[in-house]
Amino acid sequence: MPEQTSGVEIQLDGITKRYPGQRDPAVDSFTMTINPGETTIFVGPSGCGKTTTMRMINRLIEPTAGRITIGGDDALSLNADTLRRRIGYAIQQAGLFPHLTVAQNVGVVPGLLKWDKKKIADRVEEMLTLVGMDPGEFLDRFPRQLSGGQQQRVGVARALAADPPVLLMDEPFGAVDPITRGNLQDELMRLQSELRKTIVFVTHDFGEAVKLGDKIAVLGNQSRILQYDTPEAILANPADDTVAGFVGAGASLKQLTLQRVRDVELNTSVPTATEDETPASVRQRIEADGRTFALVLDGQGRPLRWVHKRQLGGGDSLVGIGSPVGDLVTVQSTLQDALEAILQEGGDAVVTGSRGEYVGTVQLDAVVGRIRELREEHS
Amino acid sequence: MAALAAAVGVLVSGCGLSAGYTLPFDVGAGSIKPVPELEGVSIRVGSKNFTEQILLGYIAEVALAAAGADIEDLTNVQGSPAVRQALEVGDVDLYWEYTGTSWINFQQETKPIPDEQEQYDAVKKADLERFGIAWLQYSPVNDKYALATTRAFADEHGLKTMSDMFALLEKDPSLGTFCMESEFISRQDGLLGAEKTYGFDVPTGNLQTFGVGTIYATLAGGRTCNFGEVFTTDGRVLTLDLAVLDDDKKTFPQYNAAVTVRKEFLDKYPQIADVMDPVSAKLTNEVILELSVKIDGDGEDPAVVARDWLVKEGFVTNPGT
Amino acid sequence: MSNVTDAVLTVSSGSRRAELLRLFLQPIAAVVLVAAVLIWAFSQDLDAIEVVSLNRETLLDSTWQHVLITLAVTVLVVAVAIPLGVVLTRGWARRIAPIFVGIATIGQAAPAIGVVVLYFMWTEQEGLWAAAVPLAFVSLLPVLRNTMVGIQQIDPALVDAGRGIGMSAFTVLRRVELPLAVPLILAGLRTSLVLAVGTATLALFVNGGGLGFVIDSGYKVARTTVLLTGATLAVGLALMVDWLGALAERYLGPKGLR
Repeated sequence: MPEQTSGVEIQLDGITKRYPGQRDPAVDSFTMTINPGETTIFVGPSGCGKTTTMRMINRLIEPTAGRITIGGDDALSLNADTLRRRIGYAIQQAGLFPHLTVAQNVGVVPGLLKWDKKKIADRVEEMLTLVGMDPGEFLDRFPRQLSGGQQQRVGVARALAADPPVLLMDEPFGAVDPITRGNLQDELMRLQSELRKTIVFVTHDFGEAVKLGDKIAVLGNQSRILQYDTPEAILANPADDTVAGFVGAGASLKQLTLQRVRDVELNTSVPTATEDETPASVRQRIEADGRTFALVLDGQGRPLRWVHKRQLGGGDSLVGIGSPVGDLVTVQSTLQDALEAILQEGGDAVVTGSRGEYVGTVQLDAVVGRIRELREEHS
Repeated sequence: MAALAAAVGVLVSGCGLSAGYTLPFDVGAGSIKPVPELEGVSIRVGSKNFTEQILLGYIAEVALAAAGADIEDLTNVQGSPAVRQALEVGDVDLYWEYTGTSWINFQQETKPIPDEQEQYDAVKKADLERFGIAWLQYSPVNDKYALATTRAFADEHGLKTMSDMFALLEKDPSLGTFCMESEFISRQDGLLGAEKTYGFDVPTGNLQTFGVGTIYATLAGGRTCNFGEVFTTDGRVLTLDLAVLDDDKKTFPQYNAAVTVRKEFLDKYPQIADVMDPVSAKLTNEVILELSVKIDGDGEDPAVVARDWLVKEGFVTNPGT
Repeated sequence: MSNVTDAVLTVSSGSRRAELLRLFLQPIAAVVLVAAVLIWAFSQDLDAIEVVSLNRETLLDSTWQHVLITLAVTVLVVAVAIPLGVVLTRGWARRIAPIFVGIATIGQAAPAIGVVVLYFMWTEQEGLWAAAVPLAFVSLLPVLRNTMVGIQQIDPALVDAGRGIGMSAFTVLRRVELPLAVPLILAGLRTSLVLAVGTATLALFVNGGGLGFVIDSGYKVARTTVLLTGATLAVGLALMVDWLGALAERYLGPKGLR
């Protein structure tokens, strides 16, 4: 359990949304406690009302009945605009204002809260750095000059700028390509591990839910809560057939996104070399080991290139010899990422530690072995 | 912009006037007997697009129809220059023009001739020589400029003539506010001529420019200006009870109405003059005023009004009577 | 991360160059045209009638009045059409919006001279505003329609984002919707203004002054020189107004959208 949370608890008590002229309510008596500092995912098929429910938390949609308490305060009794300034909001299209610069976009809510100029400027820089964008480069850019992934990052920066205790995210990564989506998901997890906000995240992608969520709420029609539990519990024991159907077959494979590279044993037997070594000597070492490849590292021990023994002829140094390392993973990466990297490389994938230094390779056997273990645990 | 377009249209012209209209009734002979040389001859009669002109046009049409001609009704042409242009190029055979208008606009003179007959003679000669347009005998109808005021104002200050008006202005210049059109202000024979003749300078600040149509209503309203430029034969002078001041020093030019025809057309059918001259002679300002009020005030059809007057004067009859 | 920026600029650089060229040449063309006609007019032997209109004082006065009328019309159009356009895009106004658009369409379709005279007869007013009000009615439609379209074509996600992060409805209108609609509004204003310059020639009919006086003087007494001079001055003014509109479109819009 995280120690420091800046997030607060959200209580939804009998929240209902009825639209005039419709027989059944869109959301029917939704009751849930969302724990502070956790990422809670609302997942379900399209039309189940998950977005409607989330948008009632910040009252973009007003509930027809029920109570909402955020951090102990009754949300329905506050002025709606004021309430929303204390809740971060990120949407699928990012919704960056095209006529404002990145800096102006990120600084909107602090501006609405009347922070002084210097404080806003500092905060904007801090937020951009937080989402992995260089302030110097991006402060004065306009949204149309950014890629989809960059826009989403700025959207998240904007949502977090006023340091709200709650963050609402409505399929924020749905509109980008899968690789960018993966990167953004990783970023979010990294942010969350630092900030510990209460995040309510809506998605229809169960895989994303499993990857990101501390708790998942699987929702059915009219946002009926079918199951509200940790990802592991849901994967292991789906509450009913609907949930099982939604989880999909191969739940154990989904477990790959819950396991980390550090959970498996790494192979450390690959020979390594530094750039100042002569090709000849490296070749000798490789052959002595009965191997064909070596990994070239830089001064800080970070992996640079693979070299095949046949590429090691004459010459004084290893500079420029070999092919670059393709996809690599960290000890934090999920087994899913490791599997993808292995498939990409066509062999073992390089693993790095928290400072980027080489720690070993992950092999297919190790991954498969872990899957088998998990299957046996839960069957 | 609209004016420019119209002007360009006029200058480029030859814009085909649509045919196909004729008199909506049959005309019987009266003092105008059928003329064999005009039997079945196609005569296209045009007119400008205001009431008096349309009326005059129909008078000519009815008269010539009684003489046996085959009338094509091309009255109510938009834009005064257009109908003259039509006459010159042959799209129209005959229309009523004013001596003063031809002198200033077509002959491009700047100083009118004060005497009616002399003005007519000069115009007739010039138009024949320069443009090959012939003028028939002119009628007493003299649609000239005049200054008018409301009946109440005239009575209050005892104004009957323009000399009276200028005398009043000498005493109290602030009363000298005028509504007029741009043409009246720019022409030598308009306001400028009047100022010279009567020896009084109206300060430009007191001159308000209006479209000719809107002057009458404004003047009658009595708020914007005390005096306005009007035309002596406009029916609104009667219907709005405006007091027309007599031009005792004869500063305003003569605008006698006369039938104009292309010379070669008249040479072919000189009988047209025989038919039209007696009719012309009978037309006066009073007649025009009276008939205009019928058309504008009572909403009667100008062709019918024209025919009824010609019947009354014995020129034509209604068939079957 | 790849930059999308410059691709957009280079693709349309051909038309951008043409646009810049036009921005540079248009005012020059207007000035040259007017100068040429003035030189021609004054080199003629002007008779007494022509001189009344073709003198420095009259021409300057008429042009100045024409500018004033155009300005008055601009003020009226902006003051009425933009707020009205904003109001008509609000949810509650959806049903009555077509009525107002219909009225404005009538205004544009009706012959301007008719509207001017009708207004005059109804109010019995004359002078600059008696001309400017009906002319504003006639020129209203482009700005009204463009304001409405400009706001309606804004991505709803932006409004949702604005409200979601805590802007009030009015703040969203002021800081998001209106700025994003400005380019379209300016385009409509440009059209309206050129319309206004043209129809302002009718102001003379109700004592509003303007270049219509010169044009009408020339037309009535068949003095082509006067007519052409008045008309050319009006055309030159229209070209200048259009040029200023183009400048406004280019430089007054939000930078992020260019």
